[in-house]
Order: sequence, then structure tokens, then C-alpha cells
Amino acid sequence: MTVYDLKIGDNAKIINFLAGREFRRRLVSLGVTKESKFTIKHVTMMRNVFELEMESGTLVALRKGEARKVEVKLCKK
Amino acid sequence: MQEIKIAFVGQPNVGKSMLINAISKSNLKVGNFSGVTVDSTNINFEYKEYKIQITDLPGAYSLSDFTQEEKVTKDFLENEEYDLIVNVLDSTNLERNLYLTSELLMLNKRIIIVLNMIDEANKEGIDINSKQLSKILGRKVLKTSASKEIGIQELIDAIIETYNSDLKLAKIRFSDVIEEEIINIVDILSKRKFKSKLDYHVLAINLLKKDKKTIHMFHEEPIWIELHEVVKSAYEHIYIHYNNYDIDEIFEENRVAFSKGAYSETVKLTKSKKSNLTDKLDSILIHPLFGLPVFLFLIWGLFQLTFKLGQIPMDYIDSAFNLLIEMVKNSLGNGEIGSMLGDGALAGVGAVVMFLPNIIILFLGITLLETTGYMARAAFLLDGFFHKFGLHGKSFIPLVTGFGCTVPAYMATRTLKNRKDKLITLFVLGFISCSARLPIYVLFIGTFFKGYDAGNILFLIYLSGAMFSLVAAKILRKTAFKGEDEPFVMEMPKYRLPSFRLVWHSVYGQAISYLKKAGTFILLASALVWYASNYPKIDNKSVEIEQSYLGSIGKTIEPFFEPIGFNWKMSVAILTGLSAKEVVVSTLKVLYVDKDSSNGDVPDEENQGLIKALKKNISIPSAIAFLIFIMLYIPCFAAAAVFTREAGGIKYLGYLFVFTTTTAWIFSLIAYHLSKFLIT
Repeated sequence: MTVYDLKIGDNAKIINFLAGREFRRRLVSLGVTKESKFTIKHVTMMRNVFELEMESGTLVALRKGEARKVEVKLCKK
Repeated sequence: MQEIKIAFVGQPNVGKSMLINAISKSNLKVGNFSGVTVDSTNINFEYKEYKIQITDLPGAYSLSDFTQEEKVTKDFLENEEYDLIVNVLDSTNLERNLYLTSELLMLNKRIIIVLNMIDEANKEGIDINSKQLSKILGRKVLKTSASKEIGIQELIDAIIETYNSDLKLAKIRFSDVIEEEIINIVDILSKRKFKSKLDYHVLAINLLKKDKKTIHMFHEEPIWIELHEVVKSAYEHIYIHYNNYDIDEIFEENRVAFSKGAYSETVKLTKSKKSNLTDKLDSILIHPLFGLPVFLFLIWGLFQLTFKLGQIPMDYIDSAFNLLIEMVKNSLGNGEIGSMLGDGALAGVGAVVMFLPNIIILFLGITLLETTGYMARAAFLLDGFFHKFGLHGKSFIPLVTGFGCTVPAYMATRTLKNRKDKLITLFVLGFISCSARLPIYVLFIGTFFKGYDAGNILFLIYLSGAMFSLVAAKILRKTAFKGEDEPFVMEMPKYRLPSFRLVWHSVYGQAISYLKKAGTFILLASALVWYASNYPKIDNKSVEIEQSYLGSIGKTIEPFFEPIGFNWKMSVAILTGLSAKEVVVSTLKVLYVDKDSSNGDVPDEENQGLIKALKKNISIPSAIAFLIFIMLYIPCFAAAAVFTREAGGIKYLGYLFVFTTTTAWIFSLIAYHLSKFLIT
């Protein structure tokens, strides 16, 4: 399961990054790290861009291509 | 007097520039703001017996090459000379900000940690134990608020104190496995009494990180024979422990763990922290249905302001310059020098200054949208559509600005942080028809398409320009800028009220840099056009354009334009159109109608004479080809100058010239022959 499969309001935990070092580094520097939890806050109408709210409060937007590269596990509220 | 060179580093949106502004303001002697581009900015001032130079480095989430700004920051920190780093952090988002700090600590420089926006943190109930943090990081930690001017004097004092103190080394705590191996390596180095400027601890970490320079250095040393074995077994130990063969990732995880640890040991939340202003605003501003209309309304408002409000001073500037030109010419007796100064130099300067109101208003708007945090939302909403054409969500602003004027549009590409995105947007922007081309379109539509609805044809022209740019972007992305897409990962900053001092500062900087760079270029170019259209002189008298250099050039290049149905007069108009698109109409007028007038800007009601002459001399297929050429070729000198600066090199202007001219020529050719075939 990846971020792309989530709906607005879903809580999830990041398991793995399915892309290269650059991508991982970018996310890590924004505080999107393995094991961190987040909520899906907004998704655009055509499901092109996703906004994640990290536990720390940081809001991060991902394009759908990138959303498919972040493996997650759904968490219960 | 001692000089202290300070590098200010921080993640984006931490209030770094505002902090520097606060520091330098309280020490009024602020000087040169150099390099207004995305580069670093230098600020100099004197304090007590010190000369202090602050380098404001662009915001960076980490020390990587990911964005142009991060590259600038990383290169500066690794290669330039400086005495100390001031690391500015957002107190309300400490955990993430500490990640950059953990990277900076590994540079082994004097560092001061500044917890900025402490007032906001207090409001949100975030309690930071700065003493404890200072212990963990091994560096001085200060609390400041740039907007409330808290802790500014303390920061200046700390800078001087740290400058005069010995360099203390930070000890990032790594995991036990790594610490153990560091000790092993340090052990060997000290047993062999290895000579090095760097601390053994640092050398050990660099070796484990596979730092190229360090490995290279050790390769030359006898100690490498022994060391090599130790390092090798260290790797094996680490790899097995982490079950991971990527040493970068292992260190990264260590830094994450370090910043998490430092955060949880020093920060206490006294109330549930969320400020829900951002939540509330976002529920409307990036709402799946309402988000887009709200955005379009805001942008519509901005353009109304830019081009309607900007028109007022523009007209004043225009008439002021015309008056000035008249005065200069009269006082110098309408002679050669008068004409050169007036029609050449002053007219050129006027053409530059004229765009200034537009640029100031537009950038005021864009800066406000950026500093409040709204621009990220716009990109969020639009990225889906623009990404289909190989563009970025933020490309929208420059593209729409292009309908008004290409000069500010090129400048607006600064909001694009990724270089490829920026270059593609720059290359296709010229296809969007700017308002300066309107007079040409109106003239030709009025002349050749009398029976049709002018509005519809105009709309068609503008629409096809926009389509051209989108398709061209797609093609460029697939050819010249191909390769994997760079990941689109963007922070959505909290909404904040902008600091008006900072906004003004930024707009002022943009305006000055426009005046300087575009000004010199245009001045030269317009002087050149003036010269070419007035010389050579025969018997000290002005010749007609046909015999001037410009005329001869027109005749020389005529063969190039012949296949697409242009005569030499049209070719000359295309050439002079390079200085400004409005000039095309006046050139055609000079060439076709008033043979006696030396310059074309004598008002002539409704251009009746010109329309008749054009109708008689130009065929409809030629006219269509001409329109298409105007639509697609390089906008003007001013735009070219700004383009060169934004693209970062004159060679890009070469590419742009070839790219747009070829496109224009090919499509004009097709249109010419197609319409010829259809009409006859």
C-alpha cells in the first residue's frame, strides 16, 4: 500500500521509500522519515497531488507519481 | 579592524532574512546588497571594532544538490572562507529544523544556533530548554524573534564572543555500532601519531562516510596499509548490524535519530499546539471545488492591478520622456547629437523605465503571495494540469504574466526552484502573445480580415499562442530536457503575515536589478537600431531607410524571408521589432507611407494611409505568415536581456533565438503555402 491508495483523513505510518537516494533524502530533510506517522489532509480533485500532515505539524505535498513511491501502513485512529 | 565573515543558514521559512534585517537595522551602516538573484546576498556593517559581513544563504532543507538554492548553500559552506555559521531555526518546527543542524555540525565550524520565532513558539505552548539543547549540540543556543526584535543584541554579542573563542567540536552521538568503530579508527591514528590538521574524530567519521577527499588523502599515507583493514572490518560490522549496504542511508538515519533525540530531550508541549488558522484557510483555499475559482480570482485581480493601475504611471512616463526628447532635440538644435541622444539613447531608456510600474506592482503581488505561503497552495492546485505538459504548478504565474508583458514574466520564473522547470518555462514563454504585439494584430486584422469579427480572431491568436507554449513545453521535456522527472515534494508553509519591510526590500531589489541589467542592454540595442536606420549619411543628409544600413540589412536577409512570403520591408519590420514590438507598426508606416518623416511616431488618425498601402502591397497569405511570425519569434531586446539573466548565460539566448526563429519560420512557411493553396 502506498500514499496513493489513501483517502482524505486516513492515518498511516511510513514503512519504506520505493525510489532512489535523492528522493529519500528530500523526504527525510522535510521530516518525512521512515516510521513517522501522518494524516492525509487534502487531495486535489483529480487525485494529482496529495497533502500530508506529519506528526510534527509539517505539511508536505506530493505529486501522485511520488505518492506511489512511499510505502505505508494504515493506522487506526 | 578585524573582519568577521558569517554565513546565515537555515531551512526555508524560518525568518532568516527578517532576522538579518533586524540585525543590520539596529546597526545602521548597511551597504551593498549584491546579487539579487537566487544567489547569496551580502550585508556589511560595523560593530565596535569589528567589520561584520553577513552572507545570507538561500534556504535549504538539507545540504544537498536538490534545488538550485540548496546547491548554492552547500557549495558555499563547503568551499568558501568564513568564520562562523549562524544556523537559524524555526522554534515552532524544531525537530525537522534540527536535521539541517545535524548536517551543519559535521562541517566542524564555529556555529551559533538561533531559535527564531520564539514568540510564536511560546504562544503555541512550545517550551524549549535551550540550555539542555546547547549541551547536546555543544554550541551556543539563543532564542530570538526577528519580528518582535527579541534577542537581537544578544545574537550580535554571541557572534563576537564565538568568533574569539576556540573552535569546539560537536559530538553528534551516533549509534553504538558507529561510535565503536569511530573509536577503533581514532585508536589506530593516535597510536601511529598520524599528523593531520583535522581532529582524529572528524577523520574517522569522514572515513566511515566514504568522504572522497579523506580517502584520497589517506591513500598517499603509509598508515593506509593498516588503516585500510580496520576500515574494511568496520564497514562489515556496520553493514551486518543495519542489514543495509548504503552507508549514506545509515548516516542519514543516524542524523534523523539524533535530531529526534535532541528534540524530545529539550522540548515540552504545554498545550495542544496546533494553530488552526492554516487549517481554516486551507479548507477553503485548497478545497477541491472552491480552491481553483478563488485562485483564478486572486490572479485576475493581480493582473488587473498590474496592467490597469500600471498603465497610469506608464502613460506619464511615456509623455515625460517624449517631452524630454523634444527638449533635448530642441536645445541641441535638432542636429545629429540631439537625434542620437533623443531618438537613440533617451527613447531607449524610456522603453526600459516604462515597464517599471508593471514590474513593481506585479512583484509586490507575487512577493505577497509567496511570503504569505499562498504560492505553494497555487502550485498544489495547478500542478496536475501543468505537469501533463512537462511544466510545474508554479509555471502558471509566469505564463499568465506573459499575456501582459514578457519581461516581468521572465522575472516571475524565479518562483520556480527547479532548474529544469525554470528553463522550460523560460523557453516557451515567448510564445504567449504579450500586449505589445496587440497593435500589430489589430492593424493586420483591420487590414486583411475586415469582414470578420476582430475579437474572435484576436482570441484565436492569443489562444493558439498559449497552445503553442504548452505543446512546446511538452516537446522540450521530451527532447532537450528529457530524463527522469525530478520528484515533486514540496513543503506547504504555514500561513504568515508578511513583514512589509522585507516585502518592500525584495520588490526594490527586483526593480533595481531590472533597471541595471535590462537598462544597459536595451540602451545599447536601441542606440544600434537608431544608428542603423539613420546611417550612412550622404552629403550630410539623412537617407531614406531603404539606403540606410538597416535597409541594406533588410535586403540582405530578404532571401531568408522570401520563402515565407515577406518582402524586404516586412523583413526590416521584423528586425526593428526586436527592439520592441510596437516598433513594427511604426516601421511599416515609415516604409510604406510617410517617406518624408524621419521617425515613424507621428500620429496618423486610424492609420488609413497605412492600411491602404498594406492592402495594395501585401498578399493575404503573406499577411497570415507575418502574423504567425510575430506571434512566435523572440519578443524584444528587453525580454532577451532579462531572459539571458534568468537562464544564466548568453548561450541560452542563442538557443532561444534559434528555437523561436526556427519555429516561427516553419509555421509561417506552412501557413503561407496552405493559405495560398486554399485561396487560389
